[in-house]
Amino acid sequence: MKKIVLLSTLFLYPYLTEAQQNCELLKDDSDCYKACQLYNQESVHYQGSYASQKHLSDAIELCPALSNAYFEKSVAFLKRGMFIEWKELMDKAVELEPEKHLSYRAWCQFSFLRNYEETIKDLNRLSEILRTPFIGVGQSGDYDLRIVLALSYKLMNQKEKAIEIIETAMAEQDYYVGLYDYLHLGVLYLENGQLDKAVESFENQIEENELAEVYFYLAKTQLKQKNLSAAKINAEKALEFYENSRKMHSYYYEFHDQIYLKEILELIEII
Amino acid sequence: MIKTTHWIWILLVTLFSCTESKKQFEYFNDLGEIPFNKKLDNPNFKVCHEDITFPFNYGGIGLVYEGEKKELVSTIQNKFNYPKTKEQNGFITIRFIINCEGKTGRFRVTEMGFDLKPKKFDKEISKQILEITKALKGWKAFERNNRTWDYQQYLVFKLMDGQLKEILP
Repeated sequence: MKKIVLLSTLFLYPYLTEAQQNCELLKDDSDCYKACQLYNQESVHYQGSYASQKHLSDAIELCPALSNAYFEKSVAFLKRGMFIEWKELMDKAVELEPEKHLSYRAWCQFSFLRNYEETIKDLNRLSEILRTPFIGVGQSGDYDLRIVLALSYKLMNQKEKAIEIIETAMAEQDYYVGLYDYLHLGVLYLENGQLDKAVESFENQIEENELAEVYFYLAKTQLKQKNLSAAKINAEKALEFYENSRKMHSYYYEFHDQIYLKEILELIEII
Repeated sequence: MIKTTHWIWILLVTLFSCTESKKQFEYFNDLGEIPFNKKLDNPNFKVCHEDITFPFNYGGIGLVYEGEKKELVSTIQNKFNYPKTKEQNGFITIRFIINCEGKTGRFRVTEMGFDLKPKKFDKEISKQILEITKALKGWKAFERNNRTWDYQQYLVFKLMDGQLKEILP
């Protein structure tokens, strides 16, 4: 009984990654139809458990072309820092259905490993396949993948290219603004010395999603503009938001442009 | 939302597979568990629940270090001596357990290139990174229901030309 209570306490958090697959499309192939049903039943198991892995292996054995099963099997390895095993399984999923799985592989290369070159390769390949400006969103749903592409270029010292990609994407009439888009664009402007544009972008971010990070970078920009009184107010606001947990945070990875308490306190001291 | 009855089913299945896997598999229930290896591990390092360690990013915790990640990175960077041999590119991953007292043990090192295929780094680099990781003291035990639990943690070190470029997650 004790063990049940313990497990229920600890294991309620892992979330499941993939929606149910429509198995009716595979009805002509009885093995793949069965495998698909097995795959859909996988969600009864704790992700990363022996039962879950075995369930997915059985599905793969029945239907080696079921890309979702490789994908789902890979995720447990990713979350445990077992990247060689994750990549082998993800590569198989991508090989079978690149248009479906390239976005996830790219997103993980970026967010879990900061593997920018591989992220760019995958996203450019996806772009070639889809031939549309919009190529999808990151797994967390926070990011249009063009922002991820832009940040990857930025981190390979191609800031102008990064700005161009974000500006082009956000200029689209039906662009859906992500949770941190204006923040990243503002930081890019700040690092590029375009201070007025940076302030404008941070103000847009405040309208969209107020965070400790946006006040922190706004304060840094104002400090460069020698606007000390505004910088002080915004640095204090950054601290207030941070202390109230209104900040970038993920259990799985660190966000690009994410800040920490020490940085805010140092900035306040400088001002 | 998954209904409570479904979760009870999940737990029962988990318990059942846990019992089975003890006999047949390298891990008890979670594929990230790190069983004791007498050739590698300090026998004085104990875990509270040998058959239940869960990944740090489950259970609603994430990376928890005294002084936050900033302190973790700065401690590592200050201790890391950049090697003379360049052309050291790729990732070194260290997986380990943080026990119910916040102590660390059962370190496992994996080396890979940017293509995420196994590769060998200069031995001095991986040895140094392992020793620095072993010496980190800011970890905290995971607390829930007035008790503390063991969990699995990992760190990734991204190296470019022997320079420590990123420490993740």
